[in-house]
Amino acid sequence: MMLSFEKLIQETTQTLAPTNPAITETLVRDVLTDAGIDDSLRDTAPTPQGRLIVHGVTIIGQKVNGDGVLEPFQYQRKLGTGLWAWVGSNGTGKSTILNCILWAITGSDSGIPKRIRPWLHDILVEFSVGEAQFTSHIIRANDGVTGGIYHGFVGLNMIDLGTAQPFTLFATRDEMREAIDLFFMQQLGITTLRWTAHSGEKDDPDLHAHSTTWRTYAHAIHIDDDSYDHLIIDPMKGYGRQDRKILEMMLGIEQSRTVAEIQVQADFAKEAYGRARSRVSGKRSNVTDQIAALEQESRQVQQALATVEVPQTPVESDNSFVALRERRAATLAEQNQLIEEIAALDAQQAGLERNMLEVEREKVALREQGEVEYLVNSLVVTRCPHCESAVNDQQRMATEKQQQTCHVCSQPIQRARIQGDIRTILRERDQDLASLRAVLKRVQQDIVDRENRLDVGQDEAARLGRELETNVKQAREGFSTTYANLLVRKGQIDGQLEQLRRSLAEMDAEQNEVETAARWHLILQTAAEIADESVFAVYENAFAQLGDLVVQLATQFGVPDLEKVIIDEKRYVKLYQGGMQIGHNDLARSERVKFKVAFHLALMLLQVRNGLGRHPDFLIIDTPGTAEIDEADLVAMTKDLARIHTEYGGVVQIIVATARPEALQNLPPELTATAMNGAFF
Amino acid sequence: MTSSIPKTQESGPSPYFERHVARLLVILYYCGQPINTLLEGETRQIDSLTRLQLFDFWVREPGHLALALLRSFGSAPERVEETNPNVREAIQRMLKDNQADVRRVKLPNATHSHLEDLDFSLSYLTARHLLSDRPSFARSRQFTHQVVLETPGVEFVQKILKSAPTFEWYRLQSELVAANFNRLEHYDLAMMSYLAPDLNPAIAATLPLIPYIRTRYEQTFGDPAHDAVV
Repeated sequence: MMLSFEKLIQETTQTLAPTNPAITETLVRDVLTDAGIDDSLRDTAPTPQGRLIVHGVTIIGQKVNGDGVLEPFQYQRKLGTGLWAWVGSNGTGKSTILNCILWAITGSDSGIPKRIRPWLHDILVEFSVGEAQFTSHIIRANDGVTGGIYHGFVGLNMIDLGTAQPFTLFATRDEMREAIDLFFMQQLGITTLRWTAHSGEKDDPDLHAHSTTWRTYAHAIHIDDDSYDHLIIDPMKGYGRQDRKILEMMLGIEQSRTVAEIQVQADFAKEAYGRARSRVSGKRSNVTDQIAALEQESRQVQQALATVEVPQTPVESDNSFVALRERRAATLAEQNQLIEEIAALDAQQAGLERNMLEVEREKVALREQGEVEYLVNSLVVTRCPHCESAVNDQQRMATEKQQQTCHVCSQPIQRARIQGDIRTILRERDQDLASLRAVLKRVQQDIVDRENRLDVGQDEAARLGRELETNVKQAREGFSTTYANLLVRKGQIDGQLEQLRRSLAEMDAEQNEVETAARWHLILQTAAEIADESVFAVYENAFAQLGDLVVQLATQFGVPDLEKVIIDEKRYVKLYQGGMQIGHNDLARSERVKFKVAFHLALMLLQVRNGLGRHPDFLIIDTPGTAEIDEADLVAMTKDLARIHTEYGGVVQIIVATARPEALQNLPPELTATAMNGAFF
Repeated sequence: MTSSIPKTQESGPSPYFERHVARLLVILYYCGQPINTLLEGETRQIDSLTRLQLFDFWVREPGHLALALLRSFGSAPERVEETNPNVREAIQRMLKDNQADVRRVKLPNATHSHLEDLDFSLSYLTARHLLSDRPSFARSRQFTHQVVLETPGVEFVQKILKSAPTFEWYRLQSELVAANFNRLEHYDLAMMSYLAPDLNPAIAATLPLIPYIRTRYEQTFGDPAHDAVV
């Protein structure tokens, strides 16, 4: 059964209430609502899965040949569904081609060696997502990266002439990453999942929330020698929670976003709890020590007073006079402190209200912008703004294309936003608003608490003032100097003690705040675990199917004695080999490579065969285990890839590059490019 | 082909440039003088750039507009009932959901002036044949600088209002400003005398104005404002 907000509240309460009587259903509801979990659960809705097929790649550039001379090249290959391969020895450029495809569809060029990057000028990749066709174009120059994604399959000529219709354009490397991320997340129906981490920056102790992007998920569609096994989560290696997110997103687990959001809130609550605790514990021990020392001194003064012989009558009144004065001073000091705190909180409240207003204004601006941006952008320049004479349309576009600047204002041409961008920003602003409202609520509560305490303190100070007025008339006669000094000291000690005990009481109140923070953390962490278990229970069958398929494929690829693969409730991948339970890390190195390929293939095939998940049915396998896999196993692996090609070649696309010529035995010859004696470009 | 819009101007970044341009067009449409000729078709005309800047200021700053109108009608509140659109209802609409503060449009990097430098926006619209900017160049007191919303501009505004429901707000504000401009143009925006005694221009630029509008509304009409249903 799918998780609902009410069910989450009930189960969290049932889990915590027996051991924590202070945790009630109302408290759990308040905490989860304040953390925005109700909204998060409401927003969970399945989105369509898109199938990614690369239809062609063109790479244009100039390379340095053996004589150190620059030589222009143009590499082009048409692709489609099924198994496509490049076979060639080291240095022929097969990995570069694959990494260029990856660059165009993920925005990451980390796989291309720095030595090769200056060779590349234009990369054009034609691809389709579902029925829609697109072309990704990247222009690399020494001063940066530009390009865009265009509707349909368009050639460089159309882009150069300005007749291609852009879906999104980018003018810098950062814009490229952002634009490609957004494009593919929308087209493939993939959503962002959040997680937390401490910043690596100096002097930044805060916990920060991060979001997964398409580039993170792209680890599921790409295997190469250097990539670690992102999706095969091994308890011994301790991979982070973002790897789970890739796996769950590829398996189409809709409620991963909610679980991730609760966990993020739980992490922040834990951080807040830790800070509150450290703030209180240090001060409290310090005050306790001071009280102990003063009590000791008080006993000594009391003994000294008892040994001095004096008339007894005025002692009591004088003592009360000193004590009253000290208490009044302490009360007034406390009031001053409260007034300062209220002023600071008022300023904080005003600041929060200002921030909320700014966010509201930005939301209005975004909505208005979203409604008219496309309309205004679709206007075409028809005449000069100064002399109003007509402008030649073709000439204008050619100039803008060449110079990448607007001919009206000479500003760099930047990509136009799309509705999806604006919706994403609006959602973020809603989250900002929810957090600001929660903080504002807490600040307002703090102000009310302090104002109440201030009222009580003012009454107390007035009462003490009246008592002092009556006591001040009492005479202090008949005391010896020693006796008087002892009395004064005793009064001081009593006053200090009272002040410190009051501080201790305040610290106890702060301790209550710490306990509240602890309860927040406990509730959110428990809710996160319950939500996670609930999601696992719903999708257990999917994990089991994945495990079975991995066993089948890995055995075919030559992993010996593999009996079963279980993905447990922590998403740890447990292997059973030769009657023993082992981790992925315990496999031999060559077996690990085969297992990795099997795992990725299984994730893809699960989508194709059973319609499970959101894998784009696209996989790039770059030189898998050239050094580790023996000839027989490589032949077996390529044989299975060929079998997948025969069975599912119409719906999936697998792109393989290998340096091993024996792979040619099984790869479909019409879909295999070879460069055994030369280079691809 | 979709032309790309520069996101920056010389005066600074303007991530919502299209929104500004669309607002200007709506203002020109509702605050301009309608002219319908056989030769040019239906157009709108505003006689000076300053006047357009003033229209724009009052539309961008609903809080200022409400305070100024309340001050203007302060001495004769009964005359509000004769106004069309009804000023009292318009102010209640601005108070609804704090719209007078939330719908305030701040200019990027325009701290030196309350009025927007329209050169870039007008060039942009002129190049797209939505309006014409016609200075007379005459060295006389009869100098004019007509900003004309051309027929394609009129059609474009109608398209905006049809496809962008949030711009209904600007339509209502523009109509209100146009109807009361003879009162508003008496106020010198360098002094903003309508803000006194509780506010001054510097404070009004940063603080939410809703509490002040409510107080002044109550002082003017003798009863607290009831937010209108928009």
